[in-house]
Amino acid sequence: MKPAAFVVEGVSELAGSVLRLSRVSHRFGDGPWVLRGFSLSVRAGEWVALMGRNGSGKSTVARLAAGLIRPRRGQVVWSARPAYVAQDPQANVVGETVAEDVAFAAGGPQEANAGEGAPLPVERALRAVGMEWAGARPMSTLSGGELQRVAIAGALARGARLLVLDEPTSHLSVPAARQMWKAIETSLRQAGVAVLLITHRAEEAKRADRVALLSEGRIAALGPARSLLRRPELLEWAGVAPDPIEAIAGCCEEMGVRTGWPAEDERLVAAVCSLLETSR
Amino acid sequence: MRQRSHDGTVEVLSLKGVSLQAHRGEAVALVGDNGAGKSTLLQLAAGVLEASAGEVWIAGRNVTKERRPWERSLRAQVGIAFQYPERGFFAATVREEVGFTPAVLGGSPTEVEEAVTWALSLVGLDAGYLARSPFRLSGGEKRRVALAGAVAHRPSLLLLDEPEAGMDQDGKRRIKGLIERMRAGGAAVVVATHDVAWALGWADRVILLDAGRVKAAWDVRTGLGEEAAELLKLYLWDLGLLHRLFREAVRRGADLRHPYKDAASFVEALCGALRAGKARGGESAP
Repeated sequence: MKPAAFVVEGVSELAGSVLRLSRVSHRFGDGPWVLRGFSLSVRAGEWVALMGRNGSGKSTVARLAAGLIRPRRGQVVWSARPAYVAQDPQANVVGETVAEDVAFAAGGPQEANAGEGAPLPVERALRAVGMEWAGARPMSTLSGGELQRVAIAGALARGARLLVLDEPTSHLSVPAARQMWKAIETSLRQAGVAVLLITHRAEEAKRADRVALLSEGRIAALGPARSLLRRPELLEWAGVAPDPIEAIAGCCEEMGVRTGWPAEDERLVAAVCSLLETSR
Repeated sequence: MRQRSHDGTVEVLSLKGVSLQAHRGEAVALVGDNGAGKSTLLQLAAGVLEASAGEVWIAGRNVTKERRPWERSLRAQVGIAFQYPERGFFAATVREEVGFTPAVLGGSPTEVEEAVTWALSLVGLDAGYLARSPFRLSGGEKRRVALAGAVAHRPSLLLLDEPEAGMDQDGKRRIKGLIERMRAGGAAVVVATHDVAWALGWADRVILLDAGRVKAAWDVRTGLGEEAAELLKLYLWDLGLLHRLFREAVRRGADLRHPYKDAASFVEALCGALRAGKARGGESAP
């Protein structure tokens, strides 16, 4: 689980990044190349969303970024410990009760890692994900969204400064996904934890600072979430379903009417109304 | 139907008096929060779980108390893909994986081969995949092989549990195509899903489950009203706002179709109207 020897600390070229993948190429066995010269940096505290088709290499990037696999070619370096949260909530379960699960995650071999925040004790970690009430609960009684939050608490308790979230809400309903984000977003932001978020949901990628679109093992587009997520034709091209609200907001912006970021309900409605009024 | 599941100490009723009918040639979407009972309902329908009260009928036959729910005649009727169906892979080749049920049901080698080819074509995979190992495919390809395996014996009842989870836009379109083809062939299709926007694109009926009960049911073919918008808005990103934009735009003379069925077309049409407005406004301004 731990990235072992290839955690590199204090490397000057990392300059403010918690993670850097440089010209990484990868394939499994003698299969086709999944990544071809892929490069990406994640700055400390930055949230980057990685989107693209199935088979574009997203999950491979996630596993490399979490140190679960080593690249065939190129380099992956960290300035801090990464943690990985899998798509399937059940896959993240290691303990019987919630407190045990988090403690187990925290109790793994902890090498001295200069520059990392002090690991949070179990209780603080649970509070950070809004699960402080659940310490004594058996893991088997938790919902999918709660399991994901416990997995994130485990990462925080371990002192992770980079969370690799591999489609954490794919198996959650919209209310459960919203509830999960509501519970974790502020505390992760406040703690300055960097996030690499793999997702198919454009609505979810809005939480990121930057969005990278992956196509055939390479970065096809990389930019601020606020500009990339408002380009529906680009998203469609990369196999990503655009968020209809931001697509409309992008259109209003194109017509010279700003609606905020993410689009604010009232401003968007007002913008659409005024643009349609001028045509009458 | 009532069904009890054990979690060690507590007995939980995951479904309480739910009634559901799916007719031939009909696609039904089951939506609702995690734990609402969607998966349980599918497993009861498939005969994987036994209901503690109530009855399950498939193709005119009460199968509730059948000792071996997976006996041949029932197995021939039902196709099911659970969550992460690719985890159930066992065969060395895609051909064996997809052809398993047709072979078990006693098909001749030629019939099995035909069934496999047909099922693979339904999910957009060609003959080049036949000899490949299902374990060596990409996530999206695995899912497609698993779905092909669920339909290869042409079941009259197809049950899919979150087939869209983790799938990209193309993958979802393909699954939608599969559902529509099976429905057109006379099957009843019941799909548990979290992606209500996607489901509204193909479902004939939508059933909203909440804590083991049917909270609401709609016939999508006759349209969805304000009540549906209100209840579904929780389950669909931004549906409430899209609905508002639709109402306001129509009030101002824009010619739009409701965003339920196809949000992308709605966005395109609305943006078209906005651009046209600007162009006309620009002409008359000076």
